[in-house]
Amino acid sequence: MQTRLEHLVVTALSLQPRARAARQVADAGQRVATSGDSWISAKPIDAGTAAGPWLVVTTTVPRYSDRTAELRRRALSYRAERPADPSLARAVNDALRFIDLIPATATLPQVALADDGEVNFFWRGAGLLIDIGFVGDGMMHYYVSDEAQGVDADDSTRFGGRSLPPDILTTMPRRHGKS
Amino acid sequence: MGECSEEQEQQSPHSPGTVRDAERLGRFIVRSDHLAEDGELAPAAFPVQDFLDHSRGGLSVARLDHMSAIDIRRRAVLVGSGSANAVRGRAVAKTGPIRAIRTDGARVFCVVDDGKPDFGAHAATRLADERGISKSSVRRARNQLMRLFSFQPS
Repeated sequence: MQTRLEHLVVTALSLQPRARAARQVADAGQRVATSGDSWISAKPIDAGTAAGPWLVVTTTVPRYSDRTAELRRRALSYRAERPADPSLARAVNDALRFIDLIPATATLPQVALADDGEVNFFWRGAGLLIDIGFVGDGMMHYYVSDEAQGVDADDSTRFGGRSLPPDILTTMPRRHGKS
Repeated sequence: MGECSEEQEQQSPHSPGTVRDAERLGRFIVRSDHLAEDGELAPAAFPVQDFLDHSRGGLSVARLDHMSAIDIRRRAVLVGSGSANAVRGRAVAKTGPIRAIRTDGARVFCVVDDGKPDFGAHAATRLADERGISKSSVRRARNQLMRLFSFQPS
């Protein structure tokens, strides 16, 4: 996680999302807000006044990295396809949490919406298939086959959005130059 | 009831007969995300719930050898009409290899005629034994099935 300290005169008009969010933080007397890929927190430089200027701390959260933006956009688009489908809405929420858990060292999967409302992720390569499905039942359904590592497993496991099964973590293809 | 006994007798009065091992089966591919970046089929083109939910009647396939080129084109237009996308092509496999998939010595899929009044060449691929099979096990089976299909662009 990267943290930046910067001085912003938040009363100044700006089209920059970060500055705009910081201004909203200041105007609302809040300490924390979010904007895009960042957490914004702000406090007056002069502790004796709340009028500013403010010290703004921007913390970039890796889960909203540009790398996964397209994957997130596509998953969200599925919800828009069937706005009245509550199962699909839950499946998309689980899918977004799944994307957050993909390590930076791994290549990204492909995503697709099946006709039965499953949001499906898969990696495929020589001797490798990872097939993961979210159907909005709070579970992660998967099948992993990796000839090189001798993994051949299927399971349905409760998905809390905090961790991935070892079978998946150990078989995810790595990005070149990443360890 | 024996293993895939439905395959032995014609199930639908609208069908041209039972499905032979040599017959080609096709699925129309409409969504772009049902094709992977490598041009191969994506798992989502074979919905798991089609096998698990009895009311869905199994995975729908078209018996291509009982359809003329015009029938196939018409069917493709019809399948694509409910989507924002045109049909991109079809996934094609022979029936025999699908029937040959086995797990622990037992058949995994049955392929039965399922002709509809307006679509006599319709067939269904169903689990040979639906009892006690988990969603994750079906996922394994559908990937075995998917490997038998090859994509043919329109």
